[in-house]
Amino acid sequence: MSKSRKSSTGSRKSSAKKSSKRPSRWKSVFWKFSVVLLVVFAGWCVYLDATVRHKFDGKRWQIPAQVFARPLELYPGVALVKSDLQAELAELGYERKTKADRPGTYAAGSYAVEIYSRGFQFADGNEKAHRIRVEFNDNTVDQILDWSGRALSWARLEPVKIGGIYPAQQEDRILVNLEQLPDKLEQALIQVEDRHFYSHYGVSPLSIARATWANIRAGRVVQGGSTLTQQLVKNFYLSNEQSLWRKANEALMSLMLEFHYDKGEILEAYANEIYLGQAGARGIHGFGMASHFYFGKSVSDLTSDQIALLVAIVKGASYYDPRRHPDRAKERRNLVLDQMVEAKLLSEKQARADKARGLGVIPKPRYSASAYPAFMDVVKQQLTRDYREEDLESEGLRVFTTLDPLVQSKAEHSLSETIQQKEQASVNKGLQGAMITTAVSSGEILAVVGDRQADFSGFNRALLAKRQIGSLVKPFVMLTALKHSSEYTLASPLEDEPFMLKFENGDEWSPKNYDGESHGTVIMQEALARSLNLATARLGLQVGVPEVLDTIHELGADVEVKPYPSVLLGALSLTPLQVTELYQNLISTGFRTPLRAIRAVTTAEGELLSRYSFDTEQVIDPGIAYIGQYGLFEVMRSGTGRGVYRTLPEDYYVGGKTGTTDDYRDSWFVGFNGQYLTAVWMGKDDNSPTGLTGSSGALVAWLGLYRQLPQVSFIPTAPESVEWAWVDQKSGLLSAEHCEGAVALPFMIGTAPKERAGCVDRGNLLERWLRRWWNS
Amino acid sequence: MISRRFLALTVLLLVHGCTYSPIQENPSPTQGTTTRQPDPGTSSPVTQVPEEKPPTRIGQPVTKPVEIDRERPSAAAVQVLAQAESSARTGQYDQALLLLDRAQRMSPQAGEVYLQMARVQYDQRSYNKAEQLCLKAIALSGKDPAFRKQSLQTLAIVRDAKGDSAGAAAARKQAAAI
Repeated sequence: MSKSRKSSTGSRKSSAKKSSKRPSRWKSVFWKFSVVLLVVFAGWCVYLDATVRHKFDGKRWQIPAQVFARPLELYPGVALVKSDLQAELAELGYERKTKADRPGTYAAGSYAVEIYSRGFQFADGNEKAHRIRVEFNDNTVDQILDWSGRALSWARLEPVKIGGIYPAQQEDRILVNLEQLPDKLEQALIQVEDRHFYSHYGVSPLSIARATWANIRAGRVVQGGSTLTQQLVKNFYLSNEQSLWRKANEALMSLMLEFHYDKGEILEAYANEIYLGQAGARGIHGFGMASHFYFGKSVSDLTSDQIALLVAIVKGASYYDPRRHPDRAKERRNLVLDQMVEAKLLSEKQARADKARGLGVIPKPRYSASAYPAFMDVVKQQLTRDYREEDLESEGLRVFTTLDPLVQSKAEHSLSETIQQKEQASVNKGLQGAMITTAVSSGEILAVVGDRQADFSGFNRALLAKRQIGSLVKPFVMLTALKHSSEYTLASPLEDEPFMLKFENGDEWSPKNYDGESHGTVIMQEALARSLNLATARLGLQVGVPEVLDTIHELGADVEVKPYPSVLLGALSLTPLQVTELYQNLISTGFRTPLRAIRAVTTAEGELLSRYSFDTEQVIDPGIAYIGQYGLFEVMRSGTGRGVYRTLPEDYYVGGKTGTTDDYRDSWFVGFNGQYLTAVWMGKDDNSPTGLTGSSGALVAWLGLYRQLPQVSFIPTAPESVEWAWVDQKSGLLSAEHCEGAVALPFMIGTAPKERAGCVDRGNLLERWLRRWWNS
Repeated sequence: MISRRFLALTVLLLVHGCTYSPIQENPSPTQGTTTRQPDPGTSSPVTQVPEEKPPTRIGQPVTKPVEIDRERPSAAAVQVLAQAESSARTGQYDQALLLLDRAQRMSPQAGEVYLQMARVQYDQRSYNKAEQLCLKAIALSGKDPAFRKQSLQTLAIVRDAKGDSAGAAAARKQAAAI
C-alpha cells in the first residue's frame, strides 16, 4: 500500500515536474531542430559553394570547333573579277562605304576596291587589320597597294566562317574576354540590366523591392529584380523554373560567386553565357557569337546602334528577335539608346542619328543553318582521323579548310539550275545530282554539292552514292595499255568490231557501241575521244582486266570488284568523291595526291596543332601519264565533249570525259581546266532510267560552272621523255604536218610509228584546185 | 575572167584565214597557263549543250598544243619562297610548309616550289616525302637542263640520307649526263 502511495506521490511529483518542464522541452526540440536545420543549410551551402567554384574554375563552356573557308588570297596576276571580291566581302559582313575608314569596311570604284581588313588569327600567325587597295586589270588583279601607296606582293582577307562542330547540347559561342568587349557595350549592359552592378554583393534587395512593387501595381510580372550576377547564376547553374526554391538557390549562389570572384570575371562570364538567339537547333550564346550572327562582324567592330540592339535583345532573345520582330526590336533598341544617353555613353545627336538607322541585321549567315553540309561531311570525315569527337565539340579548335565559297556557290547554282531544266522532261522527274571541284595542282577540295538542294543536310551523294561509272573508266583502260609503251601508243590501231565472250557458266558478253554500229579500225586516240565500247573492250581484254584494276588502285580508288570484262566498260561503282580523286591523279602527270579538305587546325588561342600540307607520290611514269591525259583533250576537241566549244573559246584548253551507264541511269562528266577539276554525277536515287547521257546531263552542269570560273588553260609541262609526231588519224602511221588527215600526238621518245603513210599535201591540194580555177 | 581571178584570190585568202590556228598563237614560252575570266555580265549558269551521239569522224586536224619549257614562279611566289626559306633556316618548318603551300597556289607548275618543299621535308628527316617532291620537281623541269640537274642532285642527297645508295648513284649519274 505504502508502496502504492509512494508510487502515487511519485507519479504526482513526476506529473508536476513534467508540466513545469514542457516549455523548456519544446525549446530544446526547437533548438535541436534549428541546429539540424543549420547543419543541413550549412551542408547545402557547402554543396552550392563547391558547385559554384567547380564550374567557374574549370572549363566553363564546351566551345564548338570553328570551321573556316580558305582565306581569299590576293596577288598581282591572280584571276579574280571585282564582283567576286565584292561577293566575298559581303559574305564576310563588310560594310560598303564611300571610304574604307575602319576595319570591316570597303569602298568599290570602277577599277579598284579599297578594303580595311579585320585582324585575324590565321594558322600561320596573327595578322593585324590593314588597309589595302586592290586594282584590277580586266579580270585579274593588277596590283595591290598599301595605304602609303607601296606595292604589296601579296595580301589576304580573313576567311569566312562556314560552320562549327557542335556538341549535343547545341550551344554556339565565340569566347571574348573583357578587353575585347567595347566599353560602350559593357557600360550600356550595366546601365540597362543592373545599374548597381559594381556596388552590390550579388543580390540587390532594393532592386527586388522596386521590382516587387512595380509588379504588384501592374498585377503581373513587368520587371525583374535580378542582378547580372543572378542572371548569370540562373543561366549558368540553374534552370528557368519559376519557384521560390530556385530563387533562393540563385540568391545564395550569387552571393557565393561574388565572394569568390571579382566583378570583371563575373561580367566576362555573363558576356559569354547570355542567350541571344537561335539558329535552328543551336542556341547563340554570348556577345562574341551574337555579333557575328546578327551583324557578320566581330564584337570589337560594332557601332553604337548595333551595341544598343544586342543589349536590347538580352531582355528576350525570342521576343525581340530582330529578324522576326524588327519593330519590337527597334523600339527596344531605341529605348536602350535613350538609356545610353542618360548614362552619358552617347550624345543626344548621336542617339538621334542611331535611331534613324535601320537595324542593320544581315540575313541569317549561311553557317548558322549548316549551309555547306556536304563539304562539312568531308571535313568531319578527315578530322575524326586525328581528333576525338569530344575535343572537336568542346575545345574551341579552329579548323582551316579548303572550301572556296565563290566556287561552291557557283557549283550549287549550276547543278540545281541544270537539274530543274532537265526535269522538264518527264523521264527526268526526281533527278538528283552531286558535284565536287578540286584545285588541280594541290588536290584541295574547293566545293562539294551532295544534293540538288545544296543546303539540305541529308543523304550526301558526293560521298555516299556509289554508282556505276560507265565510260569514265575508259581513260584508265587506255592508260594501262600505254604503260606498255613499246606495244601501245595513242596511234595504235584498234578494232572497233563486234565480238562475243562465252563464260564457263554459259553466260555471254557481247558489248555494243552507243550508236549500235562498229567503226572498223580506229586509232586509240579516236577510240577514247569517241568513247567507242568495242575498241576499248578489245584493248582492255588484251592488257587484262586485273591490270586495269591495278591502275585504278594506283590512282587512288579502293574498289573491291571482281575482274569481269564488263569492268572495262564501267561496270564498277564509285562515289563522286572517289571519281574525283581518280581523275585528279590521272591528270597529275603520274603523281598521286590525296584530296584534302583541311589545311590546318589550331587551338582556340592560335597554336598550330596539325598541318595538312601538300603530299604526293609518283605512281606512274610521268611521260606515260602525260600521254594518257592528253587523250582527254581530244574528247573535248573532237569527241563526246566537243559541244562545249560552241560556248568556250577555241584557244581555251580543257579536258574531260563523259560517262553514261545502261539505260541512262547515270550521267557523269569529269572535266578540268588549268586550275579546277570538277566531277558531276546526275541520276535518280532509285537507280531508274533518266534519259540523260553524260554530255546531255552532267556536262551541261559542268559547263554552267566553267563559264563562270576563270578560264585558265590546262597546259602541263611535257616531261623530257615525251616527243611529238604527226600521224595519220586513220591508219596511225607516220605522217607530216601538211598531210591530209594528220594529227599531232605525244609519244614516249622512240615509240612513234616508223612506217610512213601516203601523204596528200593539204597545201598542194588547195594550190592545185586554185591553179585549175585560175587558169580555167 | 578578172572577177573569177578576184574570186579565187578571195577564196585563197579566206582559206588561209580558216587554217589559222589560234592555238599556235598561245602564250609566251614561259607562260604555263592562259587566264581569262568570263564576262560576268553575259555568263549564264546553265548552257544548253544539245544531246549528241559520238561524232562519226574525228574533228579538224589537230595542231600540236602549246608546249612550255617550264613554268617559273611568279614574282609573288618568289617572295613567298624567300619567306619560306628564311622560316626554314630558323627551324620554323611548319611555318615554312604553310608558306610553300601558298607559293604552290600561286605558281602550281613551278618546280622550285616542290624542290623547296623537298628541302624542308629533308630538314625534318621526312626522306620519303622529300624524295617524291624531288621527283615532282624533275617532272616539271621540262626543257630546262640546269633545273633538272639541280633537282637530280637534290634527289641524290635525299636518297643517300634514306639509305638508298643505288638510287642516289642513279640520280647522280643522270645529273652528270646533263
